[in-house]
Amino acid sequence: MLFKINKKSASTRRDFLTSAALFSLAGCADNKLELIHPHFKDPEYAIPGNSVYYATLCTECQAGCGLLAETKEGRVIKVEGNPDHPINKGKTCALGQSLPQAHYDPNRVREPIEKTQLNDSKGNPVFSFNPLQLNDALSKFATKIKNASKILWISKELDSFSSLYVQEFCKKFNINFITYEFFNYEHVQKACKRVFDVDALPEYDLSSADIIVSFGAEFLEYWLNPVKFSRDWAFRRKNAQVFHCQIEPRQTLTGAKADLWLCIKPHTEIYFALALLKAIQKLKNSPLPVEILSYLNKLEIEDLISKTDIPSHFLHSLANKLVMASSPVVLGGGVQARGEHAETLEVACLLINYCLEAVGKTIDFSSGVKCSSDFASLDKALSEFDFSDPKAVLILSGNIEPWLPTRLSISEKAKQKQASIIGFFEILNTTAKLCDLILPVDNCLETFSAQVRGGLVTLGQPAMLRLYKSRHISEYLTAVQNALLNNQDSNVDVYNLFENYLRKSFNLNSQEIKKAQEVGFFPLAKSKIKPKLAIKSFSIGAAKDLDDAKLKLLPLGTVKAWDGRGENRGWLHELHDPISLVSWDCWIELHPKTAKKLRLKNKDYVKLYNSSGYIEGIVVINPLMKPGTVGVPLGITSGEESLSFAKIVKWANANKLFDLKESSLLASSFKIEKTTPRKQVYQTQVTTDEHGRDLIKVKVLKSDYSELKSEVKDEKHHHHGVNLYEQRKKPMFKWGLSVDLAICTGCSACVVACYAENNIPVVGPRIVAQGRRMSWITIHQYTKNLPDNSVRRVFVPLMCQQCGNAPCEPVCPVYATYHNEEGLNAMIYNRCVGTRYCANNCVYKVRRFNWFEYEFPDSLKLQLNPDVTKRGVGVMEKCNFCIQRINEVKFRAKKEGRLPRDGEIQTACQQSCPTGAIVFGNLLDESSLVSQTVKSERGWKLLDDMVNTQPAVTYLADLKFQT
Amino acid sequence: MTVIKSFDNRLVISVFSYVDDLLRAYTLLKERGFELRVYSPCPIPDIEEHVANFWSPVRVFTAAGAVLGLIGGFALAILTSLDWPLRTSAKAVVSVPGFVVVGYELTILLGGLATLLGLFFLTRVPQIFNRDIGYKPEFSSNKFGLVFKCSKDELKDVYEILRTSNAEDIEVRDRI
Amino acid sequence: MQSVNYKTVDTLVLNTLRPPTLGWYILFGIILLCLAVGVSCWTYQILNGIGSSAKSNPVNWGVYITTFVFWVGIAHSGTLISAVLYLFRAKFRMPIYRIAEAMTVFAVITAGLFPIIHLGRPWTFYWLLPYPNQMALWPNFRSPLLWDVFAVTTYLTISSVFFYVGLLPDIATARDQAQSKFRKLLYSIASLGWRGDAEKWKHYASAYLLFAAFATPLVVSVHSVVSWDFAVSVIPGWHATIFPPYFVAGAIFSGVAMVLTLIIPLRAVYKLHPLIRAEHFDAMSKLTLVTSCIVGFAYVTEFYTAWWSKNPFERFQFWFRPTGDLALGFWIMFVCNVVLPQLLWIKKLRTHIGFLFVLSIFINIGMWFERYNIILQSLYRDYLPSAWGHYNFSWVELGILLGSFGWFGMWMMLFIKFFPSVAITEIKEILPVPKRHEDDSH
Repeated sequence: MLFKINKKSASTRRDFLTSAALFSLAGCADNKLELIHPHFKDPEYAIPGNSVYYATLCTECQAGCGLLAETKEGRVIKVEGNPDHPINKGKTCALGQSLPQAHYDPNRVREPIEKTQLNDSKGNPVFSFNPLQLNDALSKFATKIKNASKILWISKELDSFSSLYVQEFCKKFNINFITYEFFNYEHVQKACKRVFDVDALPEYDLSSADIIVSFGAEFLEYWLNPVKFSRDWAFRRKNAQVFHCQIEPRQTLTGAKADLWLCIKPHTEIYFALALLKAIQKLKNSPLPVEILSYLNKLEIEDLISKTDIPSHFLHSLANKLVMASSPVVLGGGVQARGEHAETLEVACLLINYCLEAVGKTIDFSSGVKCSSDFASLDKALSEFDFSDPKAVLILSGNIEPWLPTRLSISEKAKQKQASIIGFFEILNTTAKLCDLILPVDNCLETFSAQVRGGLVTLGQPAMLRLYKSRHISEYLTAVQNALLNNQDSNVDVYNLFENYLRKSFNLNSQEIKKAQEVGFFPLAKSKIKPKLAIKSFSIGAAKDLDDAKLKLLPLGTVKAWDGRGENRGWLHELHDPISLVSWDCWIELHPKTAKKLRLKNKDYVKLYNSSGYIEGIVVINPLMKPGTVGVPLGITSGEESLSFAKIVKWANANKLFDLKESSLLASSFKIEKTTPRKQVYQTQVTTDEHGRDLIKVKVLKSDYSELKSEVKDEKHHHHGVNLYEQRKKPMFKWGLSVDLAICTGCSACVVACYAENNIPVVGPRIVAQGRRMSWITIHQYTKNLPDNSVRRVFVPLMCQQCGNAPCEPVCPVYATYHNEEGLNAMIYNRCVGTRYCANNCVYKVRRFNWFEYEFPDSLKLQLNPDVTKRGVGVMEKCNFCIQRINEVKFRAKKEGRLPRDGEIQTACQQSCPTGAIVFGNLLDESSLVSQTVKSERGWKLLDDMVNTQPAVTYLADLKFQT
Repeated sequence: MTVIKSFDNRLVISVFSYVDDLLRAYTLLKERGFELRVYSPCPIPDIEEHVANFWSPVRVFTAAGAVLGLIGGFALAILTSLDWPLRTSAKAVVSVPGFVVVGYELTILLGGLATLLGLFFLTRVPQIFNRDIGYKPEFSSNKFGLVFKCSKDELKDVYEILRTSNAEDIEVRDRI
Repeated sequence: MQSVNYKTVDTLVLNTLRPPTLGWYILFGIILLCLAVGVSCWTYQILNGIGSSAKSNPVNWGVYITTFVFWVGIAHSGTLISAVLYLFRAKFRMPIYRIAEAMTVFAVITAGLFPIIHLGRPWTFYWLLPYPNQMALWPNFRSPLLWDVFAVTTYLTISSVFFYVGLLPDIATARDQAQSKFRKLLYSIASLGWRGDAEKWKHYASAYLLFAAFATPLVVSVHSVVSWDFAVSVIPGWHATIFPPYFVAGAIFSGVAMVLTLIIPLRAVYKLHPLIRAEHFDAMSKLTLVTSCIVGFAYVTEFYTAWWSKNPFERFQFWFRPTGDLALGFWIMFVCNVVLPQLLWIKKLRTHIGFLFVLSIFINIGMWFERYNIILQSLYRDYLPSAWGHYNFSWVELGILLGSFGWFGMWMMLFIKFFPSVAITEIKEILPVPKRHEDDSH
């Protein structure tokens, strides 16, 4: 694989240089039109039908995962993790998987746009967006900068390449540059500063941790570095080598995987943390500063605990466990913990880690990643910014508006503005619409980028030519700079700028740069930081806002929306949130008791509003949350208008409900009332209960994993003894899959990957609501009551089980589905007449039917995978273990006169799975990984004992320590 | 002799409203060695035993058809399955139990169709437009008909017989 | 049957062939309207995609298959009455079997449309037929759906042949008494020039007997095969060995009900009282009662087996049917098919025409809902609770359902006007043979 990439990306460079030559900005003039179409003259390395991979970087979040962009005939069709990249080792999250849809987004800004305000007959302002020539746009931009009295630039977190040029530019023209992210880690960084006097975010190493205590940190979803954390956690988890305790008001996906889930009263995590700190300090009597010790002595464990509604015995057992552990780690707060004490909570956690001697072992500050988001100065600058001053200029990059609290909302302030707003945008989103001048910037799949993290510099490079007349931000800035400071010498072609950046910041020579780009990253000389305790004292004010009387609003993060930047990606819309099971729509989570009090029931349609905003959505009853709280998902678009794919969508209003201060997310009082229900309800599961059928297995461990091995395996699951029919001899292959539920976090990356790989249409809310979603693999959720009377949410990725004795096959009157020689349940799309008997007879209901002719929005057609046919109306389809990938490898192997190696064939879902829960391979090959995993003592086949379907998919039971 | 006879052939159509009359006339004329045809609105057992006392070969057709169907049905299912053998689930390519249905249905289908053909063949239908002289509409309603040929010189005692067995109407046609 | 003789039979029956009255035209108009609705709905569905029906995953079958089974069921009593009762020499079949057979043929024609309407790609329906093609593609003879194709087509062919052969002499009668030129020509062609001399009658009788003998196993086989569409699958509530007998009984039940629904107005309109008399209704009522009891017994047995099997899926399914979301459908079925028919134990009601008519309509509704229960309820709640779904009717489906009645009604109306809807010849057969000395005797 590695060799392959090198070969490819060697040519990548050549290919790139040609393209770079194509779109070099000759004096910012832009007269030639570029069209994307399959190569009419293939580059010599590009064999039609064979993929070319480009090592690049994912800029969706700060984690800095390396990507491989798969291109066919010169267009990106899929992104996958770069297998050699130390951070994500070839894996990605759902958001990362959806990158191609961001790239081909129908709402991309295709050329510079100028907004002009007209007045209609009634005198109301109407806006018209008119395209501009690039050089006109640039000159407009330049003049604005020149005559500006005051310039404020608000930006999302930029990758270090862009930020270098932006910083430079801002220095030159004294622009007040402020970064702001909604999901920021300011408080964490501040805490680090206070406790250890280091100016960086901590990097946790979970691959060695044997106990994890997390105060709601969603480290398996989107917290800090989720893909890496998931992998490390899974590595320990598989063999039950880690005990994981999650403390939060409402169970997150991460919480669902915990051995011990403690439901804490909102915003009281700090008290639990203090109690824990005190208990541990007692047990280990670790040397803490005097003030802190005296402060701790003042506190009473019992009355701290009493504030949190958690029985105190949990605290003590937890403290003991932590002290006993060889390498424990305590993670800080997640989104739900972002109360007034968010920062103090982090401080307390760091102190606990310090007491446990985890610092330097499982926690490390030398990764060099910073959080540049700074709300305080944003708040100041925005409130001071004078919109009435015609000379004032506001520059925006990134979709800031929806992240701002109402009191800072730019759209409000800009109503009667004189000042001009300029924006750098990929997509014509809510914020972009506020700008007078929009300069289109490149998507990360068509330009250069760089991210410094984890002692690495990860490089991004274009995987294909630009789709539209967009440029990299650095090109704009340098061009303007040149124009204003009239220096003609410097080149404004993005590649040169990029090389300059690499030379300047890391003094690489072109050889090293070339090599770095082939691999996709290069290591930095890591300066090991030995953090010393810098903090002298800390304390928290009196407990505020702890009365149970009034409802509390809980902000919930989701894997499908994160902060909502995937606003217009059908794949993410169509995804259901694994906990609320709602797709496309927004929802409001209530504990049964709370719902009863509010006289609301499941699937009621309600409106929740306060002074600063509102959302509409369905009520979802969730027993696994604190009574007296109301959960609202952040970043989920809400309301009829939003439920449209490939149209401008309204941003999530849930963000607006909260009043941001520093890093705290607190809502002022709010109301809930029923509204006119929408016709359909976009909840994808009727029930999560098993209805007394023992379908899903969960193993509860008393001491350790070995006790499973001693268990005698139930012979019932094997039908090899009895079979009415003669067994078929399979020549070489019997493809099989195993899914380890113990490490499946429900992150849904596999689902998105499957959509991308198999040209699965996005059908939209109404059709989803009719139960006609097309996803070939779906995350099913079951809620089980375990013998240790805890409630467990289990996530079951369900794809076609490729049954050996498939009920679907014999009932097809026209052989549109049959059993092929490799044990696959093959589909012949164009033979299907659409009787749908197969789907009825499928025990797992994993077959999907094309009820209508589904169209792909225009620009998104470019993403379609040419190896997979698009299915027409009236045809049945389903998962086929990515048969196109199987064949690709088989043919390659045949050409090279060998058999496919184990692991050489990877299904899309397996490839993306961050925890490696999905394993695919040849069951007839005794040495293959899958034949090992299916033999696991946790293995069982879904429904096999009931219906004798003999599936090729083996599930491995979920694991949990008894508590 | 016969040649001359053939010149003065006559067709006698006699109409009865009672079966016993008809049968009396029939027996008497039969003794005279006439070839008689008997029409009735519906099958009537007495007439059948006197007039059409023979074994109808329709069932031969039926049997042939049925056997053909049985063989054909299984052949179709088995041969087409073998023509391009595709496995569905764990079932054998030639799974006879399933094919029984096909064999069974085709047996009945072809058996039935053969019977129809047999009936048509034996009763010489369809004969829509060649007018069968000697038929009267009331024969399909409520009258019985006795139709036969005789020569001119036989007519006299034929009349006699028919009158005695009180035929309602006697029509003699001299064109055949 | 002293009141009736050969002549009166003719006049009574041929009377139905008189030029239609205004009432007939109005009714026919309404029926055509229904048909038009159905046709336009189907057109819409073909253009818009099968998704315009309310089906979804997991409920992949719905109103269409329900209606298909319903009509196939209706089609049964025809052959039962004409063939089976013929073999049993049951005299009461004579006046009613013609209408029953007509009903059979037209019901099969209607039923036959639904599998096609139901297809995702209706334009490829002929791929289910075993026709030679250069790609050597043959259908899968292991599939119950293919068995259906054979069973239904065979049934259609044989019952039509049987129907037509029975009709031949009557058409001849009609021909011989036709007034208008058009009808004369029509019947001459339709009767194939049939003239009933003794030998022809001989062949005819034995042929008819053979047809009856061949059609009889069909009565059993067709609906058994249809029931295998369900019984062969693995879905809880479908996978049951009781299905074939249960379906056949149900079919006869619904068929007899439909015969009543049709024959009662016919008798009233055309004054056929001398031919179709109380004893016939009494006999049919008894048949209804018997089949109703069998069906009821089958329902109970289903529940019992579910309980006895200890299979959680089966048990849940049968608990769900009377109590779940679709319980209404179940109770409609139960009341119409099991409870109401019990009234027929009362002798008076067995011959009370008005009551029978209403009852027969209830039974038709009930039998539609029986299939609705089997199909929807089982798909609604099968193995994986996380994959359960929901179903609500769409106007397209209901339109097509209405259309099917229009289609059936159209053929029925035309038949009544153009062909003798009561068997002339066979009634004559059971009349006393006219003999002189018997006439003298009184």
